[in-house]
Amino acid sequence: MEFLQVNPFHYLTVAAAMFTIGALGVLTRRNAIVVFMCIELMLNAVNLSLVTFSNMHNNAAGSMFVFFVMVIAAAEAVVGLAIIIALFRNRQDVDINNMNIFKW
Amino acid sequence: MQFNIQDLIQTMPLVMLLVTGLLLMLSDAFNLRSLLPWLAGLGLTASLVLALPLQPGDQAIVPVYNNMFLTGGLASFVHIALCLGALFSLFFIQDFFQRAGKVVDEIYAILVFSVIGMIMLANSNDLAVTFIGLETMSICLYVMAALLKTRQSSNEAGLKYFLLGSFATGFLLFGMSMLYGITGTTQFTLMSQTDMSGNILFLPAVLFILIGFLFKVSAFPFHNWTPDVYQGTPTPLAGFMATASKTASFIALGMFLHQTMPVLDEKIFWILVGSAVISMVYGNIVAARQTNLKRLLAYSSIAHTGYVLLGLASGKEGFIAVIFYAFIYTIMNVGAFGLIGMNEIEEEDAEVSRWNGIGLRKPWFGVAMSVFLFSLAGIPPLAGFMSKYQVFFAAVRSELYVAAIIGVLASVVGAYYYIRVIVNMYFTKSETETSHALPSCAMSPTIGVFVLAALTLALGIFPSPVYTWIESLFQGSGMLAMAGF
Amino acid sequence: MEALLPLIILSPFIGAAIIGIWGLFSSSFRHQEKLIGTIATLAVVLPFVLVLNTFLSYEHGKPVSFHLFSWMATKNFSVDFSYVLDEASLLMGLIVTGIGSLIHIYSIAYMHHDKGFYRYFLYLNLFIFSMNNLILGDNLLVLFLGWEGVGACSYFLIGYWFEDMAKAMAAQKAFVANRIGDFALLVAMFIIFTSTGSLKFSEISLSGDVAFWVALLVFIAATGKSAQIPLYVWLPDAMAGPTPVSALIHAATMVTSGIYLIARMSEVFLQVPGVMILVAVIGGLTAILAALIAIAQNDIKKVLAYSTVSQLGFMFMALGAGAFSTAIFHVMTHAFFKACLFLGSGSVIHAMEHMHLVDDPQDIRTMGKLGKYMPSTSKTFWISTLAIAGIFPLSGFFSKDEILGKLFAAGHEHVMYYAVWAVGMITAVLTAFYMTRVTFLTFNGKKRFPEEGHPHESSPLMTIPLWILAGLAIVGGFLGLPAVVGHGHYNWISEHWLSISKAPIIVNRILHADLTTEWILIGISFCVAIGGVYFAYSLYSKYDLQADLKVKSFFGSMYRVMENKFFIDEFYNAAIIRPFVWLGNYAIMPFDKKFIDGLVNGSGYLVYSAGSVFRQLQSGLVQKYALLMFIGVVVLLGYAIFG
Repeated sequence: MEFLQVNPFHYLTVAAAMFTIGALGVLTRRNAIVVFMCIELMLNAVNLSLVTFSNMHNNAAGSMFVFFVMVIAAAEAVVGLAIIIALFRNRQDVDINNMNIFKW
Repeated sequence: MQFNIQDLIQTMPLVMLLVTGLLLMLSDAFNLRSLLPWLAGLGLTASLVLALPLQPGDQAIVPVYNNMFLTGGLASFVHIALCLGALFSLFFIQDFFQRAGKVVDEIYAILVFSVIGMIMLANSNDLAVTFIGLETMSICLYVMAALLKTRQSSNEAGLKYFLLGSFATGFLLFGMSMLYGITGTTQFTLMSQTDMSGNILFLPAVLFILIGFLFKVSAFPFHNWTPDVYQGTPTPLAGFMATASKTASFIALGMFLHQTMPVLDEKIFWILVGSAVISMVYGNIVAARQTNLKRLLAYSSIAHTGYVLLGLASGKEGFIAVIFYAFIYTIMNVGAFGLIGMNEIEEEDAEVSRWNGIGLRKPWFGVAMSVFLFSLAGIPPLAGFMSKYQVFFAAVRSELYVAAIIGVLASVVGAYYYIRVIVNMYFTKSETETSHALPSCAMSPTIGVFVLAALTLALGIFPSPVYTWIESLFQGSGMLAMAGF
Repeated sequence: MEALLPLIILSPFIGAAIIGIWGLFSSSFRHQEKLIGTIATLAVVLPFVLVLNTFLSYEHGKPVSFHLFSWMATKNFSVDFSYVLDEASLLMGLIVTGIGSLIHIYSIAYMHHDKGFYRYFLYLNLFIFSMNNLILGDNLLVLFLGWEGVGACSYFLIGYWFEDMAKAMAAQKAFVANRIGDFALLVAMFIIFTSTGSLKFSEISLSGDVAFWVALLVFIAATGKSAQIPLYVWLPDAMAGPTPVSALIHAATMVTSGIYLIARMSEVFLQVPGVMILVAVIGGLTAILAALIAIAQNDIKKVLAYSTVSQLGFMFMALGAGAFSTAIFHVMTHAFFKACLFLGSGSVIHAMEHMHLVDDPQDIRTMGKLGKYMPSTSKTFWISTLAIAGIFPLSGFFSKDEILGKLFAAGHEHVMYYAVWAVGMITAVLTAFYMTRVTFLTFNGKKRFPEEGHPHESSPLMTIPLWILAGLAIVGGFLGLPAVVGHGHYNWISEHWLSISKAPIIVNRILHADLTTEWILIGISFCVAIGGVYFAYSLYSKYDLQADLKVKSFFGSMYRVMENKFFIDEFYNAAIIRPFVWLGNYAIMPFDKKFIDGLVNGSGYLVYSAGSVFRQLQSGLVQKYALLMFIGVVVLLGYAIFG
């Protein structure tokens, strides 16, 4: 059953796809929270690839890295959501397209 | 892996900052409000003093914690420079928020933690540390941008910075994972020992990391956030953001590029040069049309990023010039932003018209601003001239003639908008004389302005001590020599 | 004495610092005019005494140098704040500090009761400081410091009386023209450093292409500072500043710094004959153009301004011919008589202003017969007019004759020099004519201001400097007697002072003409000057102001062009400024708005059509930024992989 064999390449493909989906989501979604979730998706894609590489190279550095990324993503989420809540309190709206006090 | 007491001693300055940050949070919790600025200043100074003795020696740079982090030598200098940047900004912060009528005591802790992040970023020798440093810094900066949470402008600045910043971080991180995938290590020094030139993933990996940094230093085409964010950020913090974070990112980028690639890849080289040229032309042209001083300085900072990138592409000499430039830029830009903040009461008060005739109403204010602006414009004998000259000079020596000439031309054109502000300060009458209150003249920002203006002048006339200091850090056969310096 | 030399540089700086700091913090100090004037004047007299002392005890070929401190010392690049007093810089130093002192004294009276008195002297002292750096610096970077410094001071002094943006345009214009020159100089410095590894004048040696580019760039820099075609437009507008400033900065010193720089780099220029011809041609064109414009102007300062541009053109002709020391000679004589003329015009304007009867105190049409009321001003003005017209034996005769003689001799090198010589001759006639016109209409002829007006002679503080300068304008020429007198052995400037040392600072092209030719040329110069002055005098004494109509009919439709300054300002406005504004309004802004947005939207559309998942794409600002970043990533990635 050759085609069921999962090799690192498959993981990486998934990671790359996730990353692209995340990036394109950032470019297209209007809700600040969804945009932020897309960014998280990009970070998780990276986590997947890091774990894969860690496995390939048979060393732990990559896996360790993933923990750092996760912690930092959590910290980022705290700050990000706080900013979004502050914005919501002032405008009752988190649509990033309505946010243009500053222009060229 | 074992814990080494020597490593702890080497990183004492950083630990000092960490303790300071925690103490600040604690004092905030116990409502010791008046203590905060002093504590922050004391902690930063103490850390700076602790870093001083780690300077000399042949093996100047000492890697610690299993080669993950660098201390001593250049790393110590960076530590000192960043602490100084924070100290300079500290002069202006309390007064600004007092006048804005907002109590934001957490800013001191955030400031100190952001400095920790910057130092980790600039002095890291490991992808993981770079990432942690970068994010520690960035998260603090996001908070700074959004600090005045009842103002929509501040919210917007914070959210824009946050979303775009995290987006760029995604790319950076993706690049890091690829680099790790190719080399199997996260340490720069080990990477440089693996031959990666043949690998198809190598260039994309470096490029993605480069993009993450280019975003942080606001180089074209990753610059869009800069004006919006600086305009919405509380002014003294915008000054800090524009200088210290860029200093750290430039140094980290330089160290990363040189350590992973003893010979700079040609394509990366041209990307750096291209981004530099477009940044300086674009920044200067668009800056000329701004009517808001903070925005003007934001576009000018894009242009300055261009000059510095040109230096980064010019080898060792260029890197020395870059560090010198970043140091000078910190001094003059923190000063300029600080002064803008002092002349600001409500949100929209950074308009150039607010500065009309100020040179006559408040002479020392006008003189200090002129010093900063002339220096930013690169007019001798102020510090900005020498630093700019060194960067272009390094570029010329690396045979980047066309880029250097475009740079000189751009900076000559760029002088126009700085001078325009000076014209406003001296030759234009304020239309509504009475409604424009005189700028704030509280003790601490006044001292800060004097110190920074004096430094701008002094480092223009006596740049040698600082420059030779930086130069001496690159001598010897230590890590920097191995990294192609 | 040697130990005091640094004071040449430092003393004006200290003066400026005292006045500036004290004035900033103490409002009572600002009104103590005598104290401020004394401090400022002493700060300039002291360097003058020091330079004079060095000059008197100077041994040929042994430049005196002094060193303040090291500006920048790195492994590959070092430059010091060090200065050198050699033949060329001593001469310029005497002019700058000497005339500077006189003008400081004059200004104390002229600026009396001005509300920015301290600011004025602060700028003036800073100017002398910068100018000293410019002429005495032993390397290009210190020169550049001075170069920028004099530019900034001139900028501030031009805009001195203006507190509204529209009128500060003159200052803006000066700034922009100077920046073009600065750019050229900076690039020249980079080239020099990369090819010789040093910025010291004594170590610069270039050849081939490098010499060509450096010479060209230095020349461009000089056209900015020294007001030549195409960058001369700022100088007439610079007359918006106080008149003593016009005398010091825009006549005697700063505007000659371009000539001084070219003379110092004479060795480089001598290697590129092509550039030399260009220098001479531009000089000639500027000279005649400015002279033609000057004929048709009615503002006394405007006439003098165009006359300055024209005389600077003469100096460039000399430079182009390779007679560098002759150019310096003319710098010197011109400094005497033109400073005197400007200060004289200041005295006239002062008197006209104090009558409070005329709208425009600078318009010569409302003057006339002022000589009766202002004898000293009138006499000194006439002396200087005759000097600039080139009447024997006043100073202008000698320097102008030498320039024309050298140009004629250079005709052996290239036939173009004959043409320039001819232009120079015509310009000399025009100069004699328009200077006589302006002087006559001011001081002689009919009284054209209201009958009840009684203008007064200015105070001695103003007239004494006038007499000193007039005296110098009379005798200054004897420093450079023509070659026909003892085969040039009595030409002190060119033969003794500037050229005799073993390692000459200024190298001249060897230009010889036989004695007969020299005599003929001298004869022509003599007649031309006398003729021009006589013709103008007789014309204007006969018809007074109506003589302008005769001139007008002589020039025909050309006169209108001259009156309107050859429409150069209009031309620049249409050809450069308007497109630039247009570019700003219609190209750069839309580039921001349309192009980048369009690019972003367009590619957004691409993404939209590419994937049905993303059909909800709408433009929003943060996302536009993100999209631009994304495009950046894609482009860079494409370049990295496929490029």
